[in-house]
Amino acid sequence: MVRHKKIAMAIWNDIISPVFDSTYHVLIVEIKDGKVISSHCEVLGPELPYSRALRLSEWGIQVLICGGISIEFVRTMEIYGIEIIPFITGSVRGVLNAYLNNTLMSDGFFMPGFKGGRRRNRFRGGRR
Amino acid sequence: MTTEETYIKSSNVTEIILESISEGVFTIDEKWFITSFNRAAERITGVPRREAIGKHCWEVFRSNMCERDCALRKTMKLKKSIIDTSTYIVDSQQRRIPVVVCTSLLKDENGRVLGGVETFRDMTLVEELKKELDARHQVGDMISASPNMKKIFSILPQIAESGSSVLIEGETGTGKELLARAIHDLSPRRENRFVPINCAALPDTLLESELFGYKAGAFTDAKKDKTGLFAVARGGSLFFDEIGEISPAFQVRLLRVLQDQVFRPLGAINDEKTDVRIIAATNKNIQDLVNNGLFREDLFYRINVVCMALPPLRERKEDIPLLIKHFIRKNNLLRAKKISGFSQEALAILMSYDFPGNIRELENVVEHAFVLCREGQITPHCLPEKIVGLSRPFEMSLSVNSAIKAMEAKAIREALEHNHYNRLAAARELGMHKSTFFRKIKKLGLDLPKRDGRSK
Repeated sequence: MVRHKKIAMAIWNDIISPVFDSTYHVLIVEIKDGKVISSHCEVLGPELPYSRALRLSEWGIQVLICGGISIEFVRTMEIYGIEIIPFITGSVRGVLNAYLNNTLMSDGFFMPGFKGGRRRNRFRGGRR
Repeated sequence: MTTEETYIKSSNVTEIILESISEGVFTIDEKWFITSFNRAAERITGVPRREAIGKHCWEVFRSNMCERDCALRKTMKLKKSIIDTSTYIVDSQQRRIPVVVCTSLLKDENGRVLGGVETFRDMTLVEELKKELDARHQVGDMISASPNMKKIFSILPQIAESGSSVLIEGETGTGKELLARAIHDLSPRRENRFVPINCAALPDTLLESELFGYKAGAFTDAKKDKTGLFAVARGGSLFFDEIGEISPAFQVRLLRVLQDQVFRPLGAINDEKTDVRIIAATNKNIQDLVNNGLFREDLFYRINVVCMALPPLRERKEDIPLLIKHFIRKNNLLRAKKISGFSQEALAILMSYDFPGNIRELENVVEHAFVLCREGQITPHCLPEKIVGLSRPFEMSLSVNSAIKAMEAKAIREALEHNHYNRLAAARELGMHKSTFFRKIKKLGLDLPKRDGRSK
């Protein structure tokens, strides 16, 4: 069960945005004891790794759930201590529920072609 | 062969062609599900066909266009093809792959729209080559191949993105403003204005009205409102050139604005909020000014969040040929001339010169040479006399001349000794006319004994 965490989901309409590098919006969700206690949408700034990482960090984000994300962005997020769950696809609601239920990995939310790779070892879903 | 058989055969041929071309091709139905995905598409995206088919195109293609500027969406909406749109995709290895895409409608034999087709070319190699050619030695308008400058180039994007205040130190003509512009152009503020101001050029009162602006009637000549540079640069960057020159009184005013992030135009009632990035430059050592009490320490720390030191040209002489090439290209265009370059001798002179005025001086030297040289190569004659006079090749030629003179003097002495100081015989031995011989003795200042070989 997720005890207390602030996550950001890169969104495009009601689905996870295909590419975080160029997405406009993130849904910020605060979770306590496995339940959503608040959520709101924020506009991400310029499509630059440092700007985006800095912004997420200022918002206190610990986990970023997103679709495709290039390695440059990944590395910058890591500098700011943000855990990334990349290559996720599907509806925002479905992904959030799966994250809360700790079933993101098993419920087929990964984008085609994603094998886990170097990010997989960092992914711990909602078990923390 | 029946028509149907011919059609089946041609369909197979089309499939073979699609599988063998280097361009990625995929088709979608009207609900954006991928219906076909060729081998090149698998290779470029890193997504196997079996995983791609039946998925939404954005889940597989993952382009930065997907959300806001999808070429296929435009094609479906406008019912027309879109050619050569440059974009990038994120492949399954999290690499950004630059691609050029073309989209068109997919129709059946009756002209009914079945969906869309997208073809895309991997431009990685082309982009890399382009980058190698253009940006190997260049960031913004700054050109350099020196390791020191390359270090600066490599950290520039992070500094630009950070939004922190930057202090640029460097001698005059080292390109401080170019660096400031490059920082702005690489920063998130690049869509807004880069506003430079030379602090040394203006007295306090003018500097104040330039920066903060004023309201009509604020003073006798203030007929109408003037917008200050802090307002003009809002959302952008304000570049304070020669910051070390501002007076102690103005340092206080500036510090207050930077601390409070508000300023008040002269004659205004309310403060205005600032939203500018401060980039400052100096050709002085500000730390020394601080130590000597000429520059406020608090202002120094306010502007000196990130400090970048530009090396003088004499410490990066490997840049001279690159810069010369750049200035020649620029001047050829400006002056409609056909200068091909500098001769080896002229280049050697420039390489041995220390350029106290740095790159600006080098640019002036090239411009000077363009005035005197019409076409072909620039030779030493086209260079400013000051540089030719000071350069080491000239010193070298001086030493060569001295060596020649020394050799001449030695030959004359030896010939005289051989001939018991008979001048005429010595001149004959040396193969020169007696008057030339005497002129040389005089010119070389040779001190000869009184006996001349004839007086026995």
